[in-house]
Amino acid sequence: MSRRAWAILGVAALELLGYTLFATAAPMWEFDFLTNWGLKAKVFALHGGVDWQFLQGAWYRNTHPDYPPLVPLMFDAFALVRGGWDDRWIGLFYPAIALAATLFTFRIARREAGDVRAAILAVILCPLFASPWPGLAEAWLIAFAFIGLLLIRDDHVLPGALFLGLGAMTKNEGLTFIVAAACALLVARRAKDIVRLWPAVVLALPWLILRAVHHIYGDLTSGSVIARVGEHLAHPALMLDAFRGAPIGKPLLWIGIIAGAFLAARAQRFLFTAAGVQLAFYVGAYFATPHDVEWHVRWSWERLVSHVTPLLAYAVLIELLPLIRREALPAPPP
Amino acid sequence: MNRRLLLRIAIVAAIAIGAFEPFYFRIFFTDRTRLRAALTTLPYTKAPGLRTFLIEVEQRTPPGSRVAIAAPWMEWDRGYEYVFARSLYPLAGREVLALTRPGALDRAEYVAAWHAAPVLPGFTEIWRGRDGVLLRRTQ
Repeated sequence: MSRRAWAILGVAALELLGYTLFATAAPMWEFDFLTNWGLKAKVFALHGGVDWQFLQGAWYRNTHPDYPPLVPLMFDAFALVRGGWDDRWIGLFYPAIALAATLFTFRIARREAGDVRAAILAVILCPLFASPWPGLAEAWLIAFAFIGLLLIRDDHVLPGALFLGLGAMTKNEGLTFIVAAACALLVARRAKDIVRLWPAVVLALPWLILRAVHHIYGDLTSGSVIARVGEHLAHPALMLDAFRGAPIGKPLLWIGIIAGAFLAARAQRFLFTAAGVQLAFYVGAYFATPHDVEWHVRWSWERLVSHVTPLLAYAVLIELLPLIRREALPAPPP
Repeated sequence: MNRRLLLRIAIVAAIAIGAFEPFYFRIFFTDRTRLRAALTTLPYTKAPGLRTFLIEVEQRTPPGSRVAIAAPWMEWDRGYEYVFARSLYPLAGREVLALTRPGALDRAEYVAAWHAAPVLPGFTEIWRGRDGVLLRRTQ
């Protein structure tokens, strides 16, 4: 590997060091940690296992008893290793995840674009893996989905499906990533590979069965879903208003992605289709929400779109960086 | 430089600048003791003293007990949810009851009252702190 590539990766290392200071600055402080991810992990740690009674009785809307348990169980694994519950140093998971995803980005981009451009790409994507919400499941899902989908794109379907399965054990949104991957395979004319996604389904199934057996349900599927969807479809202005005021996180990044999509979507149709289908699921979920749509969109949209931004940014950059290099080189002498 | 190349460079620059997170570099020069203090109290900003009050309650109530939460505002959408939601994590291992739900007081073994001192028949005050009181059922 060239010295220039090492030097560029050094920027990512510095950024990850800064991120480590942030993620471990204090006991986890996010509201969703206190009422969902951390709460369940702490309850399980004190109970000595999954506390089904707690999950069955958890009525508070933000506790989401139906969410898959991988992240709380990872926090518990950390507690086991450390010999007690610790809500500050579990923050170390987050830079570790970001480091793994950044190194994966470099490795996979290296084959397509060479050392230096792969390092540039990894440095650009690194902050997208360094989730600003330590203590939550976003960073985990972003990394699992990104790695899984890129492996599948490159015809490593079985290991990719394993990562998608881990994503499905992380958040309900991970389940829709499996469907998104299947749709993307279809669009990429690789329909016969869809069946090879079976490891993702195998990993996702146990929790779906267990939560059904224990009568644990989520808010989105409670009551009459069809009636809610019908009502929201009948009043589209409400939905549009909700999105008009929704934070999208990093506007300049989105401008770059949307502009880049016109140039890269054809070549990277697998990644663009997967991300597009996933976003469509997110918008669809708002039509089924039992909560106030404006409230729901305002407090979740920025986090949801963060699940696909590294994928889309990768798809654009991996096409444009080599082209820029080629065009910027002086023309060979006649 | 042709226009197509400029456009491509602009797109890459927009993604790179847009994705960049300056705070992860700025943090090296930030007062991290102050940052830690700010982040620790961040979830409780609108309820001063609630965090330390709940830590005191946690130490005075046994695991598995049923603790109801009382607050100056007892309407769910007018402040009660804020206090109730933030009580769940510090009191994990106990059943945390919302007094806005029917039958909660009847089931409660303890009442943790933040910035309130309710007089409830069948309950006795067992601890009083700067930010609230803890009542235990006696009958």
